[in-house]
Amino acid sequence: MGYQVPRSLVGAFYEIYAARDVQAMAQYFHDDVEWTINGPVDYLSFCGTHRGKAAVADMIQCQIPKVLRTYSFVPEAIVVDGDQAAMLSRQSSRRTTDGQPISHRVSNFMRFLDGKLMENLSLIDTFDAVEQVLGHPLAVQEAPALDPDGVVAI
Amino acid sequence: MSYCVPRDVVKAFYDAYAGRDIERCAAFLDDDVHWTISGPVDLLCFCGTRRGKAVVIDMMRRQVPQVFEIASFVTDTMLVEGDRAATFNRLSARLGGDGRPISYRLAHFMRFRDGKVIENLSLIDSLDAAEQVLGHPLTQECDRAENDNLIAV
Repeated sequence: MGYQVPRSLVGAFYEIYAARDVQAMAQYFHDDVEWTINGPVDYLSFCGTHRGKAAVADMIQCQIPKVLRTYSFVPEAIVVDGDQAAMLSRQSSRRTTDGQPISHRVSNFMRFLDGKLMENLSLIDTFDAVEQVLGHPLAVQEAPALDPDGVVAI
Repeated sequence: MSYCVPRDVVKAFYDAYAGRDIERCAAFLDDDVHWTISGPVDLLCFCGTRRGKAVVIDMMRRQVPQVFEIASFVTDTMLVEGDRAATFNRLSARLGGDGRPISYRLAHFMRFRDGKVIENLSLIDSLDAAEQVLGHPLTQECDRAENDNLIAV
């Protein structure tokens, strides 16, 4: 049977992740950790895949605080199963430039090995996040006409 | 001890869901199910919260096929613990009008009770989905100078 990450370890990691304690987080990173954030790289330049402990720590420690100050990261659900954990959270921040509040949901799907984080995949409500980061609604009204029923569903 | 949903129940639900077998899906939905899809309601009108089995079924049965034909719904990751399940998925479809293909990733966070879904939150890459439905980028006309305003998770 494969590795099973203890729930207590996931809980401990979540606490320091929520607090953005990068030094403590780094102790949980595998040297070859991969951290992927979905989203438009042109607008949300943190999106994409970051490989390696140093690159992930740098993203969290150096790059994010230039832009966002996260003051609340509240779990709505944490599911632990085998070597994986899934988290649904509400992240609240302020833009560093002007203090504009930003709040959106985040999901994290993580895989652990021997107590270390090997892989993270973050999925966010990108439309909402981009609008908040830009500070104005996306120009949907300028788009070509969409069938009133032209929607996407899941 | 509180309810623990069997993995087989979750798998059976997803078999039905992936196959858009609405009758089988309905059997897994609680009468008072809450089904929330994050995203821009103005553009993606399926987004928002629906309450009640009939409303959720109506969305699946009537509204979705008016828009696209789902070609595949692949669950890459499925976690089950206690009364909860979390999945990471890839949906591929063709738009009803011109058959354009779309594909995007989505996460489900579900809660079960007595073998039924009582709550679901769907988190989708909503900008990607919206742009694919519209057929063009939404952000191209925005002020590129604002690119420095980033968000990270």
